[in-house]
Parts: sequence; structure tokens; C-alpha cells
Amino acid sequence: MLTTSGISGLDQITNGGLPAERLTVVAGEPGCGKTIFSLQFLAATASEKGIFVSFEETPADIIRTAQGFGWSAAGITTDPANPLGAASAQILVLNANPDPDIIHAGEFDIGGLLGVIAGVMQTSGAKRVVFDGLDVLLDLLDDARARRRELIRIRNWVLTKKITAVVTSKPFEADLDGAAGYGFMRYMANALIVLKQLTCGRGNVRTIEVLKLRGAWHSASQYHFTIEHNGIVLDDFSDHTLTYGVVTERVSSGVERLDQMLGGGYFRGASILISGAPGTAKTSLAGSFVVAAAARGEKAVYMSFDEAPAQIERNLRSIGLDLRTQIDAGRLAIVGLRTGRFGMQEQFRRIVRIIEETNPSAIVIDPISNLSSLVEPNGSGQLGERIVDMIKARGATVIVTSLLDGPNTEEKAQAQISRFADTWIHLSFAMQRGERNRALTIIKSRGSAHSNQVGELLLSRSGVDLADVYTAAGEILMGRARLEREQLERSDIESADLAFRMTQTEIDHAEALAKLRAQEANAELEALKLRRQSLVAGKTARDETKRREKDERLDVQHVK
Amino acid sequence: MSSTSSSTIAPRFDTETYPLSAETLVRLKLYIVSATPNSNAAQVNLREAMVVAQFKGELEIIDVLKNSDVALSEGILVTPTLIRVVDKTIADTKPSIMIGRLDNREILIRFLNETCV
Repeated sequence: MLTTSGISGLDQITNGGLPAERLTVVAGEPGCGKTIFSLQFLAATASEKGIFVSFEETPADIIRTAQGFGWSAAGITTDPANPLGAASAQILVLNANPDPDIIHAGEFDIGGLLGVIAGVMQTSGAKRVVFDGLDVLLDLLDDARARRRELIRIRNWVLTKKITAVVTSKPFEADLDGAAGYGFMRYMANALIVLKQLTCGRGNVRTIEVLKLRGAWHSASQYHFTIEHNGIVLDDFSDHTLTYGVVTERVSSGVERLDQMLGGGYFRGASILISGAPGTAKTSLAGSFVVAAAARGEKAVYMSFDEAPAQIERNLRSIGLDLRTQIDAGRLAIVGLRTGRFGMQEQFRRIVRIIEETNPSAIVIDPISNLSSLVEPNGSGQLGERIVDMIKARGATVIVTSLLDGPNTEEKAQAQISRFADTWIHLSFAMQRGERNRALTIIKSRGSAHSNQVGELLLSRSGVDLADVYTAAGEILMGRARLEREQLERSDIESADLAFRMTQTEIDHAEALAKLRAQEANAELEALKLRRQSLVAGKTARDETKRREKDERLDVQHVK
Repeated sequence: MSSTSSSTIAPRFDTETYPLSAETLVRLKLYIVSATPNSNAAQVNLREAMVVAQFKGELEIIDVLKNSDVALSEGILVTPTLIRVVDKTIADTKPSIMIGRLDNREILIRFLNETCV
């Protein structure tokens, strides 16, 4: 039977929480978060109040910590005379700091303390107990055997009194034996959770691992967690329950010709990687995307790790991208996340929080290099990939920029990058005839037919544009060379056009002449026809006259 | 040469306060859990030592389970715990604390006799 631990994600990896009415040991070096874990555990549910027995920190510090995380809101008190119910507090803190001047004279045990606490629990109705920093007390005992005896005493006490208890402790050296680790604690506790803190690359990484959970299934992996404003939060267990859908809707990249090259634009919900050396206009291209999204009425967030937001706004304005209007309208936010103060884990949580609070459908992470060892050797692990996964699960479209060398990256890395980028655009400089032109190459674009050509990226006061390049004799022409070639082609076209028109005119002329001649011929024919007619008519008339004359002569002869 | 204990060495098992004598400006408080090995041993050891040291102060034996509020307010974490309180008129010192079954006679006697009048 398990009871909620109060820690987001831990309940999931244990499929219920911590064992109820049993003992859980939380082990970890100083600073790993044991005290926070315990407070969070006691603040977990209002139906189970708890007692915090503090061996290491002063009650004042414990209360301050609880206040910092908002757990004192439910009530926290240090006065055992007032049962929790009467003080209507959630947590009672008991001062169990051993006096440093204590003289040690022989064996002792904590049976009395447990008895006292049991009494307090009865009057207060508390159900949970934490013994925080128990090692400080047990260190007063000389030998490991005595320490173990007291741990067993607590465990049995917990069992008898039906209390759900957490003991936090630094791992005892003698118990850190090789692969099994935490030997005795693992053996006698019902559950053993280990907190660790490691430096990884440029950041520090906190992990939590359930080494043992008797009688229940638990995930056997180490999980990353961060300490947020509201306590310990395991990564990957925030509440984004949206799943990737298959989407065919396209969104504009902000550059019309690029949209055409991509077959309509980026897919909604896709991840786009824009790589390139510094200065290759990655920010401009990413900026075009968010401005276009905001102009469409969608919410967009630009997360910048390198440049300050004001600087980005100014730089993009110089190429005609007006971010200010969109920012003022509340559709666009530029967030500066310089990694100076924060470790990678904290950065990750900050990003997650920003996304959850603003719920954008278009996101830029510029650059993502800091968060991904894939994309930069010094980045810390897989945080970049996890962020992209999380964003895609929400259905938002994301552009990430990186300093990768594009086509020159080694193949293995390329294959891995493919996994998390649906579209990969590489920006570079091409030197030609003493000129430096910007080239844009679509290395890959999953799900769309894309032009295999390189395009020339043009930045001007009116924005970002893409020009087709010329391939002539195996050479790609850009910049001035391209303009010259364009000029050449234009004049070729013009002369062809001219020739066409000229020939057309000639023909017209000839046609007219021919028509004229045709007319003349017709007229002649007409004339001839008339002549013939009159000839025939004349002959007929003469014949007629001759016949009449002949008839008249005959008539006269008859009469004689 | 008076001892505050007139009985035998056998331990007693309930809360008791020895009679207050006029000179008593040093008080001992022994916190125990009745009938547990460490607590029994501590009581025996303490009484023997008190005899040997000719201790003139007051002794109070407190069962932690029966007086949990006192135990809490005094900050008793383990048992047995022996606290030695000196009256302010003699010296302005923090109470001395000794934990354990009080095995070491020498240390215990020294503890009892600290700033003894």
C-alpha cells in the first residue's frame, strides 16, 4: 500500500508513492535536497499531518525553508504543547539538535525519544514523521552495530505505531559497499531513495533514484530533478498530456520563397534546426518566423540564450522586422535566458515554466547549443531533446538554432540530429569573386518535397528574402555574379523578344501585300467576267437581230 | 558525611525526587525509560558514584515516557541522559549533559564534582 510522496513524478515512478505505515530512508550527501524532500513529504496532503524531527538544522531554518516553498501556508509550528489540530497546523517541527557539549558516557538509545514522539502524535493526530539528519545523532554512537540497532528500533516503532516515516541521512561509509551500495539501510528500510548531485559539463545535475521499494514495482532508473519554487520536480513528469498528432497544416517561415522551397512552409508542430556559423543570419531567419506567427494572431516566444532581448529587437528592426508592435500587442515575447546564474537543470525548468505559462504555438530557442551535448560537446546531456519533445507534444512549432557546421558534421552526429529535427536548414557564407554571399541550404525536410538547391539569403531593410541561385558550368552563382548572370539572361530574353516582334512585323507586311494582290486579281477577274458577259450579250443580241431580219424577209416573201 | 540516598543500591522505578537539603544548589536530572537495560545500568552507576563522590546535590529521576512534555522542552533526545544544573547563585553556567549508561566511573565522578562547592 502506497501513499503520496507529495513529489511530482515520484508517485509515478513508484506507481503510488511511498510505502504507507512503513519506513523510507532517503540518503544523500549534504545539499542534495533531503530536507526539502522531507518537508515536501509532510506538506503532501492535508489529511495527513506530520512531525518534523530535526537533528541537523534549527527549527527556525526549517520554517524558513518551508516558507520559501510555500509550505508554511498550511501552518507550521514549533510548539509541541499545542497539538497540530489545535494550532491547525500541517507540520510540527521538533528541535532535536544534539548539544555539541554533550559528554558521551556509554551506550544510549532513542527509545525514549520515540516514546515521546508517539505521545505527541497521539494528541495531535499526526500520521507522518520525518527524522531529518538522523546520522547526526547516530554518529554519537561509536559503532556501526549500535547505529544499525537504532535504525531497526525506528523501523519497528514505525511498524507498531502505524506511522508513515521518512529518515534522511548521509550515507554511512561502511554502508557504501560497491555495487549494492547503502548496504544496511537498503536491507532494513522498506524503501530506499538516493539523491545525488553531479557536475556534468557546464552544469550540475540532480538525480533521484529509487533503489528499493519493497513489495511494489518501481522504475529502476535515475531521474533528473530540479528544485523549483514549489519544491522538487522530476523532469519529464510535468503535466503535458497532449500527444503528437499527425499534422499536415503548414505555417509560414516568414520568407515567401523559402516557403515555396519547402512546399508550403514548415509543418505545424515540427521542429526546425537552423545551423550555421556566427553571423550567418540565423537570428534573422528565426525572427522572421516568430514575427510571421504573431502577425497571424498566434502567440510566439523567442528564447535567447546569447543576446539580450533589446539587442535582438533592434537588430531585427534594421532588417525591417517589427517585433515591437507584436510585443506590445501581447502576441510575442522575447525572453533573455543567459546561462550565467543558472545550472542546466534550472534553465530547463525555467523554459518549461515559460512555455506552460504563455502557451505559445511558435517558439524559438536561440541557441540550443547550451542545452544539448548532441549539438555542442559541452552542453549537458539530453535537455535540448527533452525540451523539443515537450514542445512538440504540445503541438507547437519550434525553431532551434545551433552553431553546428551543417553538412560538415560527422555522419553519426548527423543521424542523431535527424532524430529530433524534422527540418534542417544550414546557413553559410559563400566566397565568390571577392564577395561574401549568404547561402541557405535545406539539408533535409521530413515530409515535404524540397528543392535541393542552395538559395541565396538576402537581408535588406524590407526583410529577409531568398533568391534562386544560378548553377552555371557546375558553379553556383551568388551575389554580384548572380546579378550579372541575371542581367545577361534578361538581355538575352529581350533580344529574343525583339527578334520575334520583328519577324512578326515582316509577316504582317507580307500578308498585307498578299492581300492587296489578291484584291487586284479579284478585280481583274470581275472585269474579265463582265467583258465576257457583255461579249456574250452582244453576240446574242446580234444573233437575235439577224434572226428577226431573216424572219421579216421570209414574211415579206410569203406575202408577195 | 551524608548521602542523599538512604536506601540500597537497587534502582527504583518511578519518578522520585530526593529530599531537598538546604545546601543543595546543584541538581541532577536523570532521564530514563523505565526498565530498559541502559536506563537501569545508568541508575545503578549513578547512585554508586554519588556515594563515592559524596555528592550533596539533589537527584531527580524522570521517566521520559511518563513525562513527555518535560522531556521535549528539555530537549532530551536519547536515554539515559544526565543533566547537571547549577544554581545561578553559584555560577552562571549552562547545564552539563552526559548521555549513556554512565559506565565510566571516573568521568562520572568528575562530572558530579564540577564546580562543586
